[in-house]
Amino acid sequence: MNRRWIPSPVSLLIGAIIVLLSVGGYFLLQHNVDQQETSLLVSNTTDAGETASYALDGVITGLTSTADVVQLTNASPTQFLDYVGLSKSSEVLIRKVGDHYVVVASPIPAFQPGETLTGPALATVQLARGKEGVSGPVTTNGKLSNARFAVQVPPAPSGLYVYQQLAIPTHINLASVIGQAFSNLDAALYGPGPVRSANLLLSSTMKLPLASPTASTKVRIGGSNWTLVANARTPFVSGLASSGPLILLVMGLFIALIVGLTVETVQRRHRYAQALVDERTADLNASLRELKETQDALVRQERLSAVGEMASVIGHELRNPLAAVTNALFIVRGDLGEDLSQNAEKYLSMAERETSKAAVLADDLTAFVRPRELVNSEIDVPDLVDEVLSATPQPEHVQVDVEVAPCSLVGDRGQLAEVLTNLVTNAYQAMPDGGTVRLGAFCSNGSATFTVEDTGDGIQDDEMQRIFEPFFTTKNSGTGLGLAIVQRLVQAHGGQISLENAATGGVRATVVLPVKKKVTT
Amino acid sequence: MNSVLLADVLVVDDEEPIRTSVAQILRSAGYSVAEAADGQDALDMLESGSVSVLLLDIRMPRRTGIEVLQALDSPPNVILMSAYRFEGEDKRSVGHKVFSHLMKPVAPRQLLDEVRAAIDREDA
Repeated sequence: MNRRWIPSPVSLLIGAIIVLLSVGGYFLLQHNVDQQETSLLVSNTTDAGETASYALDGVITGLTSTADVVQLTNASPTQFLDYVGLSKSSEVLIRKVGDHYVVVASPIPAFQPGETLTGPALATVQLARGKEGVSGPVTTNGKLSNARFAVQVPPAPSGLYVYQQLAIPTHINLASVIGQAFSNLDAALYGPGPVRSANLLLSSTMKLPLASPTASTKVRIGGSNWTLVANARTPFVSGLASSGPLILLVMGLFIALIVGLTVETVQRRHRYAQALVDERTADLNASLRELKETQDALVRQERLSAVGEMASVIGHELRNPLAAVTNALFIVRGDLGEDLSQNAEKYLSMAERETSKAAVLADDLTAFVRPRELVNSEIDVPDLVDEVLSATPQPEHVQVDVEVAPCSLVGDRGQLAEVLTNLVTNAYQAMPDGGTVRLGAFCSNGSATFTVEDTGDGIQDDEMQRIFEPFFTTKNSGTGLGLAIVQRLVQAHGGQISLENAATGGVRATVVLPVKKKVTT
Repeated sequence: MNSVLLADVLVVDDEEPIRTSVAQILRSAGYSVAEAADGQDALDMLESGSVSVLLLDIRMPRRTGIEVLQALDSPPNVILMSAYRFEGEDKRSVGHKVFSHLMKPVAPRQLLDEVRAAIDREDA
């Protein structure tokens, strides 16, 4: 089996699905957490903005009250100073004179009566319209910021304004201004206009601008809008909720690994078991096949043995009656003498001829089962071939090509002559219309090889399989014992015989015999 | 061996048709022939006289041809004539007492030649 670590497609697929699901779940959950975080930040920032708005609205309210007082007192500087003195306020009373704005009364040394307003203070007062208070430009030196407010004394246009300038530390603890509820926020409050450092009023941190994600909200101060920008010091969505996506992802990957490995293990076991089953099945099938073949061979052997035994018995039992008939015919012929009618001669001859054939059959039947004992002698191969060919006259129209190498072997001369005679006779009979028989013999590597090849029509494959079976014949006449006996004789010599269809279309018989050196009798 | 000559040939075969036909062929050829139906018969007859040629079947009741040969120390010229081969242990034990072996069916001409040869051998 292949031991290399190649994961199965199923376990890979299952692992991949779980990984995809957990990554998807991670992003989905993370998006949800982010949304929740953003939503909380926005709502906290808005709340903080509103709180800041309420807190700073007091300043505007104070200015408006003072403006009412100025109106009621007909803009008396003395009464103005009395009033602001009571409320310990730093408000300044301004009057517009032509294009200039001049200080009328001031409780603080920064503004002196008769002084003309310039810079941010002038810009702030110029913004004031009607009774609604406004805030002016914010300035900061990085440590201290100045916020400016102004309101026009009614009824407009009165030409009178109340102005207040507040100096506050730029960096403060925001919680002290807008309450503990927002201690989780880092926030920066910018004056009217764009969000930029020059416009910074105050912030809870030195690190500006604030890192993303931030939320911003408008803080309404009278008729002006300030901007509160905030971000979260620590995530609003905390604990399990915020780490949920990550936990999901990690657990998902872990589960993917475990499930993948489990599926892989199961798959591997299954594959191993399957391979084992396949192997065993193949073994079993091979064994069954072998058993079947052995059984077939045994049955065949048994059948041949039974057939042979019967043939032998019949062969022997035929011998005595044949002997009697042969003798009887001889006696009859002797008694009848020379003066036989043509008819009598014809049938007497027929009886003699057929009795001779029956005698040959009896010989074959006997020889098939129990080959004669080998009477071994040194045999000269060319000599043997000559003997066989001269004892087997070739039919008309049949040519015989002989190619024999001079060599010798040890064997039963009579039996080997019988083998070759049988093969040559078969070759002759295979070519009733003539042809060529090639007879070859040579010795090499301790064995002698004889080949007999004809140019007949050959033998069909299914017949070839059975060609050595006793009583199997392809001829019209014949006992079917010839090749069976030949095979027995060759095997008795420790040799082998094979038949095949040659390229010429005829049959080639090949006999290979060991060239034994020891002569036994 | 008894000196009384019973016949030229003693034909021993339990198969009556063979025994009688062989005897007839030999008589026609001029030989005197005695017949025995089995091995024991043959031994009994040889007690009382001698023959030139013993034509002997192998498989017979009472005594087989091989047993007959084993019982005879110096048998006459023996021609075995049987449906079975004469080989193996039989040949090793009594082969030296056998002149020749013929497989049935034997052509009558060959039989006559064989008997002639056996008698000529004795005469020689």
